[in-house]
Amino acid sequence: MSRLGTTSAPWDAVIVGGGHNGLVCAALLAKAGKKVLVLERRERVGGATLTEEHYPGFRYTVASYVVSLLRPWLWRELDLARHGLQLIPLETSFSPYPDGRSLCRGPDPIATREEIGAFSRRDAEIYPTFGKSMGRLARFVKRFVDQTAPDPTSFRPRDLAQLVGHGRAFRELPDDEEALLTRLLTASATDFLRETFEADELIAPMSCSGIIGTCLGVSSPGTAYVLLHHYMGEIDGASRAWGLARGGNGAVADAIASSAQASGVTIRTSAAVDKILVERERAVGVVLVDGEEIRARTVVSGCEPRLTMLRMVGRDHLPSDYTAGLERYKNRGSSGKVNLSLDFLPEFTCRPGDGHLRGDIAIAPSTAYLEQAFAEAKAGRWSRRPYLNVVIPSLLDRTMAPPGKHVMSIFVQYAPYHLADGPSSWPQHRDAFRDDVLDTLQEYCPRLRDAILHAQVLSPWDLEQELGLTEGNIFHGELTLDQILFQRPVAGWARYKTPVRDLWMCASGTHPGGGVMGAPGGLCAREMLAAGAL
Amino acid sequence: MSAVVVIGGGVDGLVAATRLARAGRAVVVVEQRREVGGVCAGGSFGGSFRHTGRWCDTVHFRPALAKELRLTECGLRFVPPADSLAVEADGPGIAWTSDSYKTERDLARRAAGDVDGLARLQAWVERTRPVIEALVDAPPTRLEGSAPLTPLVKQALGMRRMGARDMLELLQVGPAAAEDLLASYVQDPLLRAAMIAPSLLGTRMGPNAPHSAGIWLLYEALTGAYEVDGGPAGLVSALHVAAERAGVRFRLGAAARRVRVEAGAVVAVETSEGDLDSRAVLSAIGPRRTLLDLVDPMLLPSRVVREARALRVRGSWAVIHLGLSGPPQWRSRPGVAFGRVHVGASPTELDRAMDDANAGRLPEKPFLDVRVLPASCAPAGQAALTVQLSCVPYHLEGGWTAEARQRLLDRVLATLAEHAPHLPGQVVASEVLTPRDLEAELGLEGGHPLHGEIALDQLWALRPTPALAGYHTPIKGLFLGSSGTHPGVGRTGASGALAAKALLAGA
Repeated sequence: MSRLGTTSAPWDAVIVGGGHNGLVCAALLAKAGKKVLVLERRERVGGATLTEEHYPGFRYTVASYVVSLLRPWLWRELDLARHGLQLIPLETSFSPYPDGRSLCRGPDPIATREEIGAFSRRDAEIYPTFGKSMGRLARFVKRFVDQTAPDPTSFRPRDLAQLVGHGRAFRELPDDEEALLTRLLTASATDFLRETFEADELIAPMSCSGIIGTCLGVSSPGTAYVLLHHYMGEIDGASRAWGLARGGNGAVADAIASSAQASGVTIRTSAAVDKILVERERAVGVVLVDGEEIRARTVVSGCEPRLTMLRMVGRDHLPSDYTAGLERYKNRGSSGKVNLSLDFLPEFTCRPGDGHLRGDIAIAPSTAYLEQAFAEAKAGRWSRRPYLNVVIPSLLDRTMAPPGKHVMSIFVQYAPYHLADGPSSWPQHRDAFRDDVLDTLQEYCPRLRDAILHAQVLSPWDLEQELGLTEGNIFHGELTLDQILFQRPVAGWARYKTPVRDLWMCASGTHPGGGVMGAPGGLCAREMLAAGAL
Repeated sequence: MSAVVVIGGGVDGLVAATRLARAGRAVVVVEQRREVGGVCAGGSFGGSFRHTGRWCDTVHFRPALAKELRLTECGLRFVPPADSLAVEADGPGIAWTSDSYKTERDLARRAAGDVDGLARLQAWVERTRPVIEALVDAPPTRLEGSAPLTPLVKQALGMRRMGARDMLELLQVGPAAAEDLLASYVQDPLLRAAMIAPSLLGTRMGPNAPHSAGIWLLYEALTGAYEVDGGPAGLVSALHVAAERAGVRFRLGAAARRVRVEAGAVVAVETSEGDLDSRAVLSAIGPRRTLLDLVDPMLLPSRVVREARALRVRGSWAVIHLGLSGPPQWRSRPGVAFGRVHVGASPTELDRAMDDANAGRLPEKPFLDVRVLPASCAPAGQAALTVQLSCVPYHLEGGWTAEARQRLLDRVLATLAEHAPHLPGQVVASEVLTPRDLEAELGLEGGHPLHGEIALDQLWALRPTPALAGYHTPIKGLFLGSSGTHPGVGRTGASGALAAKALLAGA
């Protein structure tokens, strides 16, 4: 992307970091008539929503790999369809087991019922009802995702009305769903699922969505909540659908960037911010690594909170309890990525063909397997047999690989940032890590290695170094009960403001958190405009 | 009017019975054992030794209840907690004695900032205490149905009175990990381990598990400054006297078999010793057993049955009583007597031990809470000990065979030998109670001392289950009142008291 604009421009807002949230925030501010500059350290925008070609003709959706929670109101306001964004729904969830059996859950309820019935007739009966209840709860939770976090300490009428509104909505749920919701907020993923289901083969892959992005196990309390995110997916209003962006997740960032530029946002890439300038307790601009100073009326950080506040602003400008809160903020990265270019599609022995691969594939054969994987992470090792979430975008999107060839995105958990011999030892372990991942998958797809033309490996250390994800945490901070809503990232500072005046935060480390939602960026812009901040 | 039948003569059953009798109701307590007290009842072991109860803590019993039931007139005496010691492999450990200056000096020598950190933490716990006490002393707000949320709003307002800062801190700490909370105040891992371990006795979570900070805080805020003289058996004895004075009748050795229901209402309790007609029954045994074993499930809404089945009641708690030929000698403090000794090096080890237990293994390094019982529990010159273990699996790999129980005892003795080298040689009597044994002997389902795992999703309005919270059941006249109901954290007596109140209001 070319360099537009000049350093002398009197900016209303300068956005640090061109990830999808930074771009959303920029676009909305510009639409309100503000003069906005986005500064991105890398050569292209997108942050962790990124498509790159590392092997000729093969395009990787490098880091984040699915889109599900991108807010519909942002689609509309930013006119993303016109700016080229197209989503392709993921059709199935497939899980193979070591004993040669497998389970494929798909859009056809009758087929899914038969599939689950092979493991438990009872579970097969309950499965659709459970999905419906979860869908209704997801609709309830959406209230929170599309609003600024409530403030339980405030006595202001607006805040009290918001709290009362949430309470009312809760009371309007049927009794059994209220119960389900309270359990969901407090239980572990496995305890929660075991209340309804009995087949471990079903519970194990379902429970995994509870641990993604946290350094917790499927039986750690509080992991059930994230299951709900799985039911919150909405593409063009159709609930319970996760999808891929045509052209990889980089296409999401490109569409938002294009919309932002159409509204007058200036984007500078290869412009790494070194410091946020603070004068008389106000943010007044930024200094780039090359020393260039850019002044603005407000500074908005699209980076991770600890990176923003402790590194770019500095402790000197922060009250000690805020700093303490940030230090307590749990940001433990627990996952890595392996992206593969494949000469051909390696089939699964337990089920040849590709109809069941047009969605996500979970290697999570049992809850005991997942517990063992977590136990290794706690001991400071990556799991020798990790949980894998595999997507083959080229099956659904021909633009990703040459005809007949494929790209495969493998999300790997656990790959703890804090290895026993320190996070910086990751580069020397990268190959061994990759081999364990491939060995794990190869048990189900014996021809996997024969098909590999190129492999890209991203450890949590790489995610931190390359994409600025502190400790490699994909959500800019774990999504646990103590780190959501009014506590994200620091209790009392969940409304995008910071203790430094005119400095705002708009990325996944703020309410409502990580994923390719765009909600933090969007809500931050709303708050800034409502506060008349610029 | 027929008598109220209280099923189960444990602490909560006795509290409930006494409260009901004092309100003018005729009350019969049905207890399957020959004595009252349940898990808190004293007993003998190894011929000449006595113990003061399987469950050791009395510090959580609500002082207001002791006052209301006039327990001091029934022989209850509060005494300051005994001196205690946290031992470590190669070091002096930490001793808490009546000489607090000395304790502080020891702590400061181990980690310079810990005295100050501990004081700040305690001050904060003090500030949360009123909020937590209010929560524990009131029935849970039913989140479901059309019941008014007024009590909830009141509680929320009570919280706001703490001030925004403390309130935010409380809301953040609740769902956090205990180790994260304590590590932000205290550096010494031994100190943190000794502080955290007792609060996780009724859970299956380690100190790094989310929500463990909330559980820790509940226990900490409910810990009184005094314990009961004579231990749990002393508490039971006073409660028994109070119940009898109030006119409560007892049917000992009578196991409840069934609660007979007609037209949706209780009409009788069938016991091994005959039937008792009754229109009101308060079950102070586990909620899960009450609903699934004593009541015909066909009479209950399917949701209630489903939730009761899903209630997690597996304990991770075991007890070993030891009779010693002489008082134990602790290597790091020779010649000094302690009433309580914590064994367990660090929160990391506790976490590992809980992982072992959850995977069905005996922990490599067991966490022990050792009580040296009063001299009256042993023949002259000898000593009786009760060792409580956390992190012992209910489902042990390979089952709880005689060999496995011996292995548990051996491991405990080997662990104790590291800190009291002569102790294994002093053992003249022992009794091992695995979770299975506790279940069989005391009727504790899953061997769980609190009739249901302590976890955020099984507390307050979710205890025992969302559909059942608040002591009522769908069967008219049947109430739940053991620690399987709110509050359930420790032997507070509050469950029984609140259940009695609900029965009096509703029947």
